[in-house]
Amino acid sequence: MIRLLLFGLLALGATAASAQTTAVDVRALDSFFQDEPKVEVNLRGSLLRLLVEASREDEPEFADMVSGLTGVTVRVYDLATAGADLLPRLGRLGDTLEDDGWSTLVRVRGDDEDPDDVWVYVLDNGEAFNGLTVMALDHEEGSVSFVLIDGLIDPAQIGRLSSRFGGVDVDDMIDQ
Amino acid sequence: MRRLSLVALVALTASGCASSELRGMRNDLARSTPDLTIHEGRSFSFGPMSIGLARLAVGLAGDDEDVAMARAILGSARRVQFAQYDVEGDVSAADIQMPDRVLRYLDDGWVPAVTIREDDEVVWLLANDRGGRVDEMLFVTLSTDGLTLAKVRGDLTEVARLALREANRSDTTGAAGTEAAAEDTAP
Repeated sequence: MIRLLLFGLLALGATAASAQTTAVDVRALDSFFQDEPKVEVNLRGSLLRLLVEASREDEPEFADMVSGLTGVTVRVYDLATAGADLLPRLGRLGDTLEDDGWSTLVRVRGDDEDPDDVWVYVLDNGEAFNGLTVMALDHEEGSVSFVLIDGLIDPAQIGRLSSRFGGVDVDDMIDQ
Repeated sequence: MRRLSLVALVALTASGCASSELRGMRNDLARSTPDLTIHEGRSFSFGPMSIGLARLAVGLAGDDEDVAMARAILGSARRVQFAQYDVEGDVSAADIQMPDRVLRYLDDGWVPAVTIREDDEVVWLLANDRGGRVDEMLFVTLSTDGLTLAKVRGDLTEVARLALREANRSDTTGAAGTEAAAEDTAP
């Protein structure tokens, strides 16, 4: 029992990530796919504080990083259940984010050699980021991931946050 | 001998406190998944009275990891309910709906913190935010390995801390996120 409970909390704390932003209506994402998401994570308020408290002793840097966040929302869908118009719809979603003041940090367009598409947007206040949105198509995994993070984000922590919560290494993409 | 007697006493105490709430969830799932057979299983419930006895028993038990986790949970929990049932048949995650009794938790304001539907496994983790603090969690997992239901009320900080340690250990032993975990723990 205990181990199972811990694995549940593990998922809560370390596996998934998403952020609830006003810019993306996560419920609308369901309409892009025929099935419900494979993974849903909704962390905000007290749950985020619990995560901060729980990691303070062993991972003070991670605790500091998360302490500025106000929301983490993750959705992972099965790519096979996506509609044929997924890519243009995601493109329009990105356009909407830009219209709302978000900046494109990374855009990877898939090709024959590497078909995966990635969009990374940040809400830049000049000194730090107030939000991070990651959309990623992973053909090898057969998944489409959305990671939405709200709150104060140190630009230097973007890669760590996206890796830790969404399994998407933004630093790697920027280096490329 | 003394330890065994205490553990047996706790087991006896617990056996009379099986959670009807969790059993109701099991019955909901059994009804909604006619292709699955959810067998009879085991369950227990520690309340304010019996949890003290459980703490004592676990305190006298060995020092392996599970016992350490049990100590952490029992040390800060005010109530623990647990049930586990064997399952027969193929679990198709896409076809499994949240049990009615779990849906009622959402109606009562609980938060669906984590939902995972992965091929033959479904996981729900719900949290109850009371007074600006999460002090109750419900964990449901259904797979071919079985159905497990657990509900814990109390100070969950220590439980979450152990969960993160477990997560990082899994990461560094080859699971996803290895690099991130290593970075996060680096000095």
